[in-house]
Amino acid sequence: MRIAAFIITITCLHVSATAFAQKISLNEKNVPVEKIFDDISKQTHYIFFYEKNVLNGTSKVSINVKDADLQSVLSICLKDQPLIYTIAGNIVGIKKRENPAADNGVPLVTLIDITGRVVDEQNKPIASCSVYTADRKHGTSTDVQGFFKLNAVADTAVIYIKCIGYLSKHVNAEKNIGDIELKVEVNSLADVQVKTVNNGYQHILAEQETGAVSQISTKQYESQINTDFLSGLTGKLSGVAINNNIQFNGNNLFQIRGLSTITGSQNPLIVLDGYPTELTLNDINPNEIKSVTVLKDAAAAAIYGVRSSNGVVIIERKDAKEGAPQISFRTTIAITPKENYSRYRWAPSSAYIDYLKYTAANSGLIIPFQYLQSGYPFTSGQDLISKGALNPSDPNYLTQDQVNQQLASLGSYDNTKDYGRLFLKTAIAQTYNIDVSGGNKKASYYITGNYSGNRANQINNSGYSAALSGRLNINFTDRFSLKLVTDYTENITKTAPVPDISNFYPVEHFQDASGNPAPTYYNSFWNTYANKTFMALGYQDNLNYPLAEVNQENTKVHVIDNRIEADFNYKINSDFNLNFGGVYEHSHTENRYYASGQSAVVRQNINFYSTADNNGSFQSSLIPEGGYLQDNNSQLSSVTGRAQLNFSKHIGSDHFFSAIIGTEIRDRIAQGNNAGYLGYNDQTLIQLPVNYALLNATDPNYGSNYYFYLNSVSSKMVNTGTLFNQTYDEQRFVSVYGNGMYSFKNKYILTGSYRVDQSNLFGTDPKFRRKPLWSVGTAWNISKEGFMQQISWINELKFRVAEGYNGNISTVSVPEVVAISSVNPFTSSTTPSLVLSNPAYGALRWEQTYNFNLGLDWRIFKSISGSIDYYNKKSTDLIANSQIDATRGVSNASINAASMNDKGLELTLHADWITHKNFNWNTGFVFSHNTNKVVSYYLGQNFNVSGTLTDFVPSYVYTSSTYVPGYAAGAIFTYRNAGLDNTGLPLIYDKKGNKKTPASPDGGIDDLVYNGSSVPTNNIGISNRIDIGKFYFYCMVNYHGGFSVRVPHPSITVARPLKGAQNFWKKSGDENTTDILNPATITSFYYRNTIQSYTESQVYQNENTVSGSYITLSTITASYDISSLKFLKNAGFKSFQLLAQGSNLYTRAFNKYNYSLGTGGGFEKSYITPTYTIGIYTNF
Amino acid sequence: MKYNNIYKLAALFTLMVIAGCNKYLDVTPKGKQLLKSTSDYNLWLNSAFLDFENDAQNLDYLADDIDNPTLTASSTAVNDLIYTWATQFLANITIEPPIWGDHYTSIYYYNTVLVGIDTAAGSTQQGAQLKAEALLGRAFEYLYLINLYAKEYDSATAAQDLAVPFVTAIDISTTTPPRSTVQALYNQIITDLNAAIPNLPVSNGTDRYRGSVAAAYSVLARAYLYMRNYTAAETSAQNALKADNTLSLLNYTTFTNVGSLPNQVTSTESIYARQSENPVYYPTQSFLKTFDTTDARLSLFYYSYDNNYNTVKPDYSFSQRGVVMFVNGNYQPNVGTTVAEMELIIAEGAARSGDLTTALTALNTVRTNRFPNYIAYTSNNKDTVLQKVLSERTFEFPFSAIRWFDMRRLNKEGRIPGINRYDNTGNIIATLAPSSPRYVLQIPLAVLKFNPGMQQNP
Repeated sequence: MRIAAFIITITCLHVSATAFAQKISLNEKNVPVEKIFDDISKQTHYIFFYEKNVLNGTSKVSINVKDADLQSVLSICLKDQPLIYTIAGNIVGIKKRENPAADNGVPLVTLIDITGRVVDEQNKPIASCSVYTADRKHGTSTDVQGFFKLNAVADTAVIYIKCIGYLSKHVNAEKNIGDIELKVEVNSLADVQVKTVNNGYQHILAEQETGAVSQISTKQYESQINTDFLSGLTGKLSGVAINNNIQFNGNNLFQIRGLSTITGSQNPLIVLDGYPTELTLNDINPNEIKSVTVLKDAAAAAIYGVRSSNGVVIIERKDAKEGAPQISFRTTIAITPKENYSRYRWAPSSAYIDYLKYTAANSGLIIPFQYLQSGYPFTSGQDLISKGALNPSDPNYLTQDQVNQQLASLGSYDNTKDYGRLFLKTAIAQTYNIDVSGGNKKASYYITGNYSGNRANQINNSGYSAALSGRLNINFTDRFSLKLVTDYTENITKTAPVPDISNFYPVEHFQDASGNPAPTYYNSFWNTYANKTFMALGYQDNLNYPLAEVNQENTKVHVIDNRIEADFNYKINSDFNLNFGGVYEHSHTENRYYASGQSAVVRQNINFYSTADNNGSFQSSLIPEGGYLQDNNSQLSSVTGRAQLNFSKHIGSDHFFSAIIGTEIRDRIAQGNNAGYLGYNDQTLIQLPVNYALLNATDPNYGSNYYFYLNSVSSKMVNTGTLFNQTYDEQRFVSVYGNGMYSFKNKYILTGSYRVDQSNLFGTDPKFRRKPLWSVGTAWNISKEGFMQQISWINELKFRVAEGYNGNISTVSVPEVVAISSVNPFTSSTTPSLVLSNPAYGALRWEQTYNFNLGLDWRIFKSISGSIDYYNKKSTDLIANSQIDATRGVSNASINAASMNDKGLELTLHADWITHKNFNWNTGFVFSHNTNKVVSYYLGQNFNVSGTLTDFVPSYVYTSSTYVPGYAAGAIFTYRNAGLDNTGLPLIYDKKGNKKTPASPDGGIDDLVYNGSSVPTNNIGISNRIDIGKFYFYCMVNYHGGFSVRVPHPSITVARPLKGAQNFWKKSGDENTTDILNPATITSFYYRNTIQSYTESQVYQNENTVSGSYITLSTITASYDISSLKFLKNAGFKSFQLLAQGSNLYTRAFNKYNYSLGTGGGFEKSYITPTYTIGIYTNF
Repeated sequence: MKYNNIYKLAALFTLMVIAGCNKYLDVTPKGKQLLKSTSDYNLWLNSAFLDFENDAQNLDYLADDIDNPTLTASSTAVNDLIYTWATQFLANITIEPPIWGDHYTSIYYYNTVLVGIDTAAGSTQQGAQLKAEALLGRAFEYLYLINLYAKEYDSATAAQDLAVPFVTAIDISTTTPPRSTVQALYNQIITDLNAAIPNLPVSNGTDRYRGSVAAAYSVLARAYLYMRNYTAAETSAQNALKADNTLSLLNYTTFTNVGSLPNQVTSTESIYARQSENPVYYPTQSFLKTFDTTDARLSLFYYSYDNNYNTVKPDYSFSQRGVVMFVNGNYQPNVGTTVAEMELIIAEGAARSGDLTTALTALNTVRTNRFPNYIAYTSNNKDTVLQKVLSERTFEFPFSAIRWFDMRRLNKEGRIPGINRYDNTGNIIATLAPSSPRYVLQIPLAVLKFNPGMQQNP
């Protein structure tokens, strides 16, 4: 493969070198003109066209030239002949001279081809400039490199160059005008007009784009301080849903136009500097964004083939600038205060005491004290109740007064303040960023360094990252150039297990009276009485002391990412250029979890894997004393190589063609290895020997020969899969792609793209092996039509329509039988065996998404631009578990059978209300609406033939990431709450409105209510920026709507109950005033099996499901440039900008509870925690 | 440069990429266990799934010796629908159909071997043996299917009677073949078994779940028996017993409880072993009453509530439905072929051909290991001997998934009277008449859903 590419390259270079020898050498005496024409044709690629009789009456010619160009040769041999010539492309037309005046010495108009380049003051090309002759008979526009060409223009013509944002200019016609420099128009916002669209493979003029594309520029991106890449995009690109407070399938929401796969990656493809990247988004330095382009439909993204269904995000980073070195330095500091638990919607401590008293009053629910002594875990105060129930003769007996008194003192304490004091601190994030750029036309550079340190809200949690990136542009010759990019990023995060406050009962202390760490119910598993007993028998202390544990356990994640990109460009001629290059990425992650020998995790595991002697005393444990280290390494490396031929050509002034054809190979290897060390000492690095055979063979029941509660550990260390493990996954792709565009008068544009991807993941069925993905699109620049010219307030109006197919990759299925290792216990001794994991699926193919898009772009009143898009995406052949004919050997398998549909509407508006030299105001508005519907998906056993459910509580009632045909992915289903019965047990309504117990056989989906999606279907972002001289003010507001959230039902039995939970059912008649069930029904440890349906019918009820719509004031940023201050100017600062920003300032939900997911917490968190940032941005 | 050259170059380039890419893409995925060598296939055939006859319980629910004392008329449980010979056993057509599904999963395992073993790396001898084992295993599975979903073999109509699809492909995207005919499928079973015999090991004494020459002959004997070709069945059964000298009957009278019986994986009584799940069966009172009370099988395998879950010994009245259970306990009964089954096939074949000496010898060989102080049974009446052999089969293989197959072939001879099913209050809720079409199971609806052209059984 690589050799092939090399040979091709060499051949291309060779061929082009000869083809450009267009110089003519002639030495003829008295020959007919015809002969000269033939000689020229032989030496060049020009072809002569003329009527035979035209040459009648011409005189013979003598000529002697060496390495002359065509025009000079022609002017010599046609001198004094009654002939004129025209050159169009490679055709030379010869005509009779019509104008006899010429014979009389009147200057002759010669038609010439004009080429030139339009640049700005920094010598950067300006694309999309109008270039036309004064008589407007000839016209064109500049391409991405700023070049233009006008054919057959009179050499006397005047050429006008006009470009929005620049002062117009005119020059005299000349064969090669060279660079024409345009000056920026004062008052214009050059940055706002995005004139080209970057699809990663090529730059397309915006007016020639037929697909759905959203784009933001540096200015829009950098109006606010961004601490990470994605936060700078939120609410600024239509169709892109980014929300860190809403999860789907366990991931923060980051979707373009909904969902188009089930088992494949649901995130968009990220393209960095022209090549897809596998690296984490954390590696993208928000200070380096030049532009971000989002490709949303087939016409825009089909060129990415099988990875484009989820949309493509193209990131263009800042690049080298020619000239003297320019240095820019930025620093920011962000502060996020601690949680204010007094504003949380929690029940007071006393609620817990009331609940204990209720259980005490309902005899039968009291756990006998001897149970507690033998190890049954109990929460604070439960032992008091049990003691009160003892026989008065028992030494542990407490009178009712004593019980009440001690309970009251217990309930007078609330640990939220102490939790905040002991476990939390103010979070601080600092960043420093420096970049240097400069160079000349031959070579230019851009080097950037970044450091950010980060202290989280939880104690012992921190991290930092450092990055260094260099970009080099070298023009070896006028034709041959190289772009070289290298990136190095290092990221370290240290975390210690600070348990969430919701795990602790409000009355629990974290410190004892003398300030030492105190044990908690959470993660202790043995109660204090039993712990004492067992410790006396030689066991380890099994209790968890959270305040001590945060110092005994830690996880360190160390990520090193490297990226090297090299891109060669060879300009073959004005029409063709060749790109070839590639990118190599390598990411190494070390995840190192260490628990010291004193940690609860190790102590509990020693107990868990212990054996006891006949007296019950500790005998030995399979886990040695000492630390535990789990060291997990994973590496991801990918190589992409690409060769691409670009073509663009104006034919006449009306026709413009451009096309790319290319091929790409790609190899992606993900591998990992895990190792666990027991009895490990982090100081001496020595580990103790362990009997792994016995450990692996030992079921969690090993310790159960002594006591049941010995089994309880927070996390089992020994798990065959995690102690030692190797993983490896390789994906190879070979792709051929092409993209073409034709434009007529820049009014009518037709585009098409085509891509075939092949990979090692493929099936064997030839029908699907070379399945192409393609798109066609067309656009009509209505504003360029003559009839529109009268409407002066419409500056631009373009209508687009496009359709085609995008693809997606899911790797859950393979075309071969896949087995997994197992053991056969039925042979005389247990023997190894292989069992069926996946059947062979020969028809395996890419998932595909049919994409249809209608769009309208406009710019009116010069400064109000926008676009509106309607789309319909039909994703089919999605790989998901599906039913198949049981005769095939299995009754369900992962095959290309599921399908999904996304429809939506998007609106983008950008208005420059005021553009004055010292006062600007602009507004950005994006609205995205997307509705998703699962068309077909196999629900398996949850449904029977009549569409009713066979489980009491189907999984999709309590997870919000499931797929039910006919409903949105992530649909919310709920029960209809019918209150409580007269024993305090919950009731639901069936479809007909009859009350019934949720534990009775289910009526299927008819018993449920569909409450819509859990994913916002409407997203709005509004930004406003006001510039007053050196000052600007920026504000961003986001709205997420069209979805539902579940408000948790108060329950008194959880560690930290919600406000109102204390009003639970206590006695018959309470069912008229409360719908919180009788906790006795679920605290009783006698019938735990039936409680699931009760608690879930309470939690997942219609009445508790409300609209999730909310609005957030995301950022307010103020900036002031003080570089005009004398001392700064003297110090060499070109700009010195001070910024202050408040993020996450306010949120408001449109439901009666004001429950906004924007708070970033659960329902209990009633407010949003702001972050305050200050920054300094300088240039010198 | 002339544009032509560029187009040619581009075309050449594309061609070279496409030519080179097949090799580039042809990598064996790591981290996935694919079946590549004969030892992989050996482990594959060692899958615990293949050690089970998962539907044994379902097949037992079809038989005439089982009772369901708690049955209510409205029950839609799969077991209850099978028990009452309903046309379909599962209304939910989105999940795996009982009986049909499990057999085809086993067939998938064997087909995987048959498709891949020829190109697998490793010893050709092991390859040939594994292929033979797979042929045997697949024939055994099809023997179940043909006796469930097709009419009883009748040489006059077998070429037209529809059996089940004969699936050989392992690619789940291929189309399911149409239903084979009874004759064609039996021919296939017999051909495959004969093809397997030369490459099978002589003995499977260390793992009776795996194939052996004796195992292949024993399955052949069953096949011929169900085809009512009694001579060929008798010969095959004799071949099975001759093939492996480690095979012998266990003397049940020497075992005090079921737990002390040897595990079927190495038992000398197992020829081709298959386990069943461990359900509790309630035998019908009428079946229990046919037992000789000295029969060691009664005291080993039957328990009574009346006797506090102990053996039925103190009380042989079987006064009430559901008081006596057939419990497998920690003993896994073999529902595959056994030495006793071969002896009784020999006995039946001989009895039917009038060779009463051979018949009685074989019958008494079994019975002498089942009764304490056994006195040999004698008779010179051909029909009496045959009847004795047939009833001996009911005592020897109760709840072993083969009574239904005996019922089918004996029904063909008019030996099975109408059978009634009773609900928990004693009302008749289903009857299987001798002429009933229910002797042939219907194709599951979940299968017809994918094969709309497939002909349903009446």
